Amino acid sequence: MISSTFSALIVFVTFLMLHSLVFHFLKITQRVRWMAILLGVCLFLLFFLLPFFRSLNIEEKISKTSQTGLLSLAVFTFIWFGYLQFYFIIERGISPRFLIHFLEAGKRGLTLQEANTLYPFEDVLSRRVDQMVASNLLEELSTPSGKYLKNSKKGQWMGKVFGGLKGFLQLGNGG
Amino acid sequence: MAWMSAIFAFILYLIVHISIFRAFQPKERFRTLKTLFFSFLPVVFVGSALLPLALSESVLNIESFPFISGSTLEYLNAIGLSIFLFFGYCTFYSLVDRSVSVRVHTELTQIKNQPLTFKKLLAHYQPNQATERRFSHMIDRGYLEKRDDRFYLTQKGGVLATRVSALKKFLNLGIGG
Repeated sequence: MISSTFSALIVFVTFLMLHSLVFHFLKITQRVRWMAILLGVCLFLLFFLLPFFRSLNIEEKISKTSQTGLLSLAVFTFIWFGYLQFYFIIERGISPRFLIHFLEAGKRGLTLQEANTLYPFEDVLSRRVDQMVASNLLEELSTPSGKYLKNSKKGQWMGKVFGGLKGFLQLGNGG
Repeated sequence: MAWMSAIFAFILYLIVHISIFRAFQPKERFRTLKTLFFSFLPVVFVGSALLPLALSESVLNIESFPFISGSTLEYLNAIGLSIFLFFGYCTFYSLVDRSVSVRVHTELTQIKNQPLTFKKLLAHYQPNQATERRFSHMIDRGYLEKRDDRFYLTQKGGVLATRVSALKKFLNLGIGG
């Protein structure tokens, strides 16, 4: 089992490298579809990697209980990450929230302006800012001329890392 | 066996998480999810050692099934892990690409972290563009259609909207967004 875990890790690292290069050098518009295609291509590597790791006889060097324990932890963690993705879409997704407003509007639909009135972006930003201030990612400065917002040290670090990644992967401003 | 104990543990996690969210409506939801996750890790580790003893190996040990060879099982295991790693990465990718909070951090970093009022931050963000971008994604995926200046739910969008609304209600998440 440990051979398949190592092989999966190498497949994932290869996927990450390919994805970074493709997104950096080509201007991709259908990003999620491209990520799925790249993963599919990388999965073919398993036909070479698994026999290679099996030939190294790693299985015999680690006890079966440890192998099963580690693999269970890894699978549980990954299922949890998958669930988080789903959870955040349901809880915080802006598009699902708009879908509900469209559902309530029924057959008459909505114009962009009506949708913006039902769900003003100001509300989204205000809620996110409150969460970021509570998590110490933003600092709120009270001055006689009003309240100002700035990145905390942690927020500044995040801004640099994520800004760098957005630039490298050509994702635009996003958000 | 490892997969089985992880899946069992995750089902148990889901039951506890749903019960807590329905009974207590926690305010710090993500923190609750995280705390629950970390408290489940020892359960998973111990469970993976105990499950083979608790279950009759001849009935539930998939490794002993005659129609799945050890080699096929290894390929399935590797494919499963690669796909889960990919899902994990998707969570991170969505954060980089689409998160409003990340965009706030990068906007503030770009202006050398000068303090901004909320109104100026909102103006930086160009709210109409944010909404239009979301609508254009939903049109691409077939959830919305545009006729003249109005947007309408498609049948596919209607099904999704009904499910999302039901889930939000079930988990006590409020209208969210």
